Amino acid sequence: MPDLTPFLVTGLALGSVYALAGMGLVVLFRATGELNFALGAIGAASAMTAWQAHAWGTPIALAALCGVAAATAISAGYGAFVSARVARRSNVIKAVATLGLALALLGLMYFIWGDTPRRLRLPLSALNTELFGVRVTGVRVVALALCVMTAIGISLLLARTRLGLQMRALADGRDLSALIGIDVERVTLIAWTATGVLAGTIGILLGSLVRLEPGVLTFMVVPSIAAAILGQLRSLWLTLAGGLAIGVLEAIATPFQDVAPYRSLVPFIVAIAVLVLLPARTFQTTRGS
Amino acid sequence: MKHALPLTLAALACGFSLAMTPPAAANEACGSGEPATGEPIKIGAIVGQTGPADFSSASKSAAAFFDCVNANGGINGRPVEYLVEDDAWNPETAANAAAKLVNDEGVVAMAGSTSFIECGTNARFYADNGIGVIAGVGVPRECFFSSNIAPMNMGPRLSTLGAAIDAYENQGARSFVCMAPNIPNVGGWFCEGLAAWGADKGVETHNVLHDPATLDPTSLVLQAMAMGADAIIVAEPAPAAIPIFNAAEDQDLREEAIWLGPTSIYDTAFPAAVGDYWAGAIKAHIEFNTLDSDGVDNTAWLSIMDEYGNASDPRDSFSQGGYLAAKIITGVLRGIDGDITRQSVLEALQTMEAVDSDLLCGAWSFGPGDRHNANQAGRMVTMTADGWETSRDCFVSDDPELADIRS
Amino acid sequence: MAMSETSRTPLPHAAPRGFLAAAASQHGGLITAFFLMALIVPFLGSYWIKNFTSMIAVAIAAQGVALLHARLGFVSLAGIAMMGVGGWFGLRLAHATGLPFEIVLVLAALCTGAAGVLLGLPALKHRGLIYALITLMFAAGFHVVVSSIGFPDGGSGFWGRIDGSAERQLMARPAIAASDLAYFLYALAIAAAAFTATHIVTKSAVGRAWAMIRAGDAVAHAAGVRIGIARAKAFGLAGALAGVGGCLLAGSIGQLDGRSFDPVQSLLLYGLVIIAGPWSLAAALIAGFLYRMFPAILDSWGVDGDIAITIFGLALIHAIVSAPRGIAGQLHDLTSAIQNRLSGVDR
Repeated sequence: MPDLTPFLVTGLALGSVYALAGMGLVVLFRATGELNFALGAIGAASAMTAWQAHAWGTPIALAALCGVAAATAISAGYGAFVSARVARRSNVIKAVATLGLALALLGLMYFIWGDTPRRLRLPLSALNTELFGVRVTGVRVVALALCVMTAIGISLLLARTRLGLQMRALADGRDLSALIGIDVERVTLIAWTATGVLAGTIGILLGSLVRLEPGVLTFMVVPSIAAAILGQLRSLWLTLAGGLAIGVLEAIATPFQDVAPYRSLVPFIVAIAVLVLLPARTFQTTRGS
Repeated sequence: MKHALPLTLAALACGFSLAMTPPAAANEACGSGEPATGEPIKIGAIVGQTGPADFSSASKSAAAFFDCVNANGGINGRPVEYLVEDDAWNPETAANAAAKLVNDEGVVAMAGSTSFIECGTNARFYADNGIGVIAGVGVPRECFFSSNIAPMNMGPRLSTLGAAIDAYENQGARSFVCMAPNIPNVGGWFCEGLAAWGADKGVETHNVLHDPATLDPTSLVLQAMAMGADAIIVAEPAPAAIPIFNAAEDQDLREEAIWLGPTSIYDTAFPAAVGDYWAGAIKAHIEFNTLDSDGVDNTAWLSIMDEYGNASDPRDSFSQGGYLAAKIITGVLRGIDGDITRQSVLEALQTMEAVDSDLLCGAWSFGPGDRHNANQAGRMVTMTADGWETSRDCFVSDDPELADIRS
Repeated sequence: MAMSETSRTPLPHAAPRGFLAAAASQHGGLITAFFLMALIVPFLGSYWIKNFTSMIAVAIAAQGVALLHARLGFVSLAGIAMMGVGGWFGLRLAHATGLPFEIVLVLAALCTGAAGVLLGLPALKHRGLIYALITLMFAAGFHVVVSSIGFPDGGSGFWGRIDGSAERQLMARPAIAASDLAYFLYALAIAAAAFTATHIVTKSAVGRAWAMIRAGDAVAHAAGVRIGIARAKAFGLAGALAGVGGCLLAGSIGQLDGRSFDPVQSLLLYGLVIIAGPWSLAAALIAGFLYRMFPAILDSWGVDGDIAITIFGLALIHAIVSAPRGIAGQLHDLTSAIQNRLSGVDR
C-alpha cells in the first residue's frame, strides 16, 4: 500500500478547485435557474487579463483586480443583455446559451493570447508550510479559505438579507416574484454581477494553481458540475464537501498505476453514482418559470 | 505561439534582428532567376492551428520559403502555389482537408504539415493516392510509421530518449520517470522508447501518463518523485509542461532530480514562463540546431522569415522544420525532368540524394522504405534565466525500434 | 415546470389524407432537401462531399436527440457521445468479424440501442435538468475513456487496439459505396430510411403511447400504456439512431478519434437541435448542418479558426434569444405562407 497522505493534501487542493467552481455554479443557479457553463471561460478571461496587466507592468495585486473587474463586466453584460431574454426558456436551454458565451470568450482568448507558454504567479505562492511531507503554498490555503468564506458569506446573504430573499423567490418562480413586486431584472443582474466577481477570483486562483491556459480553465467547468450535482444544485455546504471529496478521491488514485491515467473519471463516476443512488425527491430543485 | 501580442512580437523581432545577416543570403537559399510566371505547382500542408496549441508555424516558414522561391526563378520558371489547411485538432476535419487538397486542388505533394492527429488520420489516404509528404514536424507514432510520410524532425520519442541518454552519460542518471499525456500513439509511444533503451542498458524506467487536461499537476509531480528516480523527463507540449514545473517549484524539488524535456519545451517564451527558479536546472533535447546558430541554413531561414514572412510568424523550431521541408521539396522538384506529377514527385522523393544542413546533425533523405525516420540525432541545451545555451553537440538517440531503418 | 420547451410545442397535425401524402405535405421541405443534396452535392467536390457525409451522420444522431426531447420531454446531453459509442461498436465489430458493412451497421445500431436503453434507466427516477446532467456526466466520462484508450483499429483484446504492433486498420466501406461520392449517397439513403423509420414509429401505437406519457404519467396509466416499456423504446430508438450515425461516420473516415467526442460537443448538438426546432423531423438535418457545415463554411471563407469559434458562440446565443420556435418552425411558417399564397388561401 503506497503512502496516501501526500495525496490527501494535494486532493484537498484539487477539491477546492472543484468546490469553488461548483459553488459559483450553485449560487447563480439558485438565483436565476441558469447553469453557467461560461463560469470557467469568465474565470479564464479574468486570469488572462490579470496576466496581461501584470506583463504590462501593473503590480500583481492591481492586475488581479483588473482581471476580476473584466470578469465582472463580462458577466454583468450577459446578465443585462442576454439572461433576461432567455429567462422563460428551460433550464437546459439557458445552460446552452451560457455555453454560447463560453465559446465566444474561448475563441476570443485564443485569438488574442494564443498558446504561448505563460504563468500567473501570485506572491502568495512563495509562502508555504509543510503538511504530511507536502508543501502547501499560500495560494492553496487562500483557495481553501475562500471556499469556506464563500459558503458562509453566500449562505448568510441568502438567508439574512432582503436581496437573498428576493433571489430565493426568483428561483422559486419568476412570474410570481414579479407579481409581488420584485424587480426581477435587477435581481438577475445582481446575481450575474456577483457571479462575475466570484468567477473572476476563482479564475485568478486557478490560473495560478492549475494552469494559465484558456481552454483548460474554460472546460474545468464540466467536472465542477459534478460537485454542484453533489450539492444538489442547491446546497453550498454540500457542494463544498462534495467538491473536496471528489478532489481527494481523484488525487488518492494517483499512486495506483493501473487506474492513475483514468483518474479524471472520478468526478463523473461519483456524480452519476450519487444521482442514481439517492432518492429522486432529493433533487426537486428546478421550478423555473 | 499564435497571434501573440504585438508587444511581444516587437520584442522578439528586435531580439532576432541582432543575429540577422543582410537579405542577400535569403535569395541564395531559394534560387536565382526571374520571378516565376508559369503554371503553378500546387503543394499542400495540413496543420493543427485552432485548438489546444497552434502548430501552424512550420507552414508559415514554408510559405515564406516558397514566396522566396517564386521571386527567384520558381521551379524552373513555374511558381509554387502553397495551400495550407487547418485541421483544428479534429481528425474528421483533417480527413476532409486532405480530400480538399488532394482530390479537389490536385496537389502534387505535401510539405510542412505539422499536426497532432493528421498523420494518423490521413496516412493511408496519402499512400492510396501516391502523395509524398514531408512533414515539418511529426508528433505521433503514425507520422513515423507510414510509407508516404517522412518528417523532418526526430520525433518526440527520440527526443525524449535523447534527453535521457545525455543524463545517463553526463550526469550519471540510472533511473528515469517519463511524464507524458495519455493519448494513444502519443504519450505511451514516447515513453516506450525510453523503456526499450533502458531495458538494453539495465536502466530503470517508469511512466507517469495522465489526462492531457489534468487539473492536478501537483499529484503528478508527487507520483513521479515517489518513484525515486534520478531524472524526470517532462515529455509534454510547452504549455502543459509549465504547470508541472510550477508544481515542482511549489514543492521545491529542483535539486531532488535531474529535470529534462524534449524539443517541445525549447521555446523562447519558456524560460520567462517557468521563472528564475529553474535557471540552469532544466535541460532540453533539441531536434534541430539552436534558433540563434550561425550556420548557412539557420541564417537563411531567419532572413527569409524577415523578408517574406510576417513579423508575427514565430521563429521557433517548428519554423525551422517547415523551412527545411520547403527547401528540400523545392530541390527535389527542380531536379525532376519531365512532368511534375504526384508519381514523379513521389519517385523523386524516394530516390533523392541525402541532403546536409547545419540545422540537422546528419544527412536527411526521404528514403524508399515503408517508414521514415531519417533524423535520429540531436543536441542538448540548458535553460538560462532568459534563454537557452547549447550544452552538447550532435549525438544519436539509439532507439532499439529504429533497427529496421538503420539496417 | 422545467421542460417548458416541450410543453409549448404543438403536436403535428393529424393527417386527413393518405399516409404518404400526409408525410409528403408535412415533410415536403425535408424531402426536397434530401433530393437537392443528392443532386447538387456530387458537383461540389471531394471536400464538400465529405463534409456533407459527416453532416448526414450527425443529423441521424441528432434525430435521436430530437426524438427524446420532442416525444418524451427528456434532454440528452450525450448525443455526440452516443455517436461515439455507435462508432466504437461499429469499428469493433467490423474489425473483429469482417462482416459486410450493412450487417455491422445493423449490429452497431442494436448495440448502441441497448446502450441507449441503459442510459435511459436513470430517467425512471430523474427528469429535467437532473437527467440532462446525468447524460452530460456520461458524455464526459466516455470522453475520458475513449480519448485515453482510443477507438478500435484492428487490434485484439477487448479494446481492439493495434498500438504499434502492426499497421492501423481502417473500417471497410460497403462494397457498393467505396468512393467518397458513392458513400455520401449511401449515407443519404440510410438517413432517408432512418428519418422515415422515425416518422413511422412516431405515428404508430408506440408514438401514441409517447404522446400519452408526455401529456402526463397519470394519463398514460389511465390509457393502459406501460410507461417503462414505452420509454425504453424511445431511448432504444434514439440510441440506435446515434449508432447508425456513429457507424456511418466511422465508415466515412475509416477510423475515429476520441478527441472528436468531448462532452461540450454533445451539449452543443442538443443546443443546435433546440435552435432547429425539435418537433420537426427536419430539425435533425438543420442541426447537423449547423454543427458540421457552419464551421466548414466559415473556414472556406478564410475566417480564422478562433474567430469562427467566437462567431459560433455568439450565433448560438443569438439563435436562442431570437428564435424560440426554432429554425424549422420559421421555415415551416415560411413554406406554409408560400403554399397558401400559391393556392390562393389567405389566412
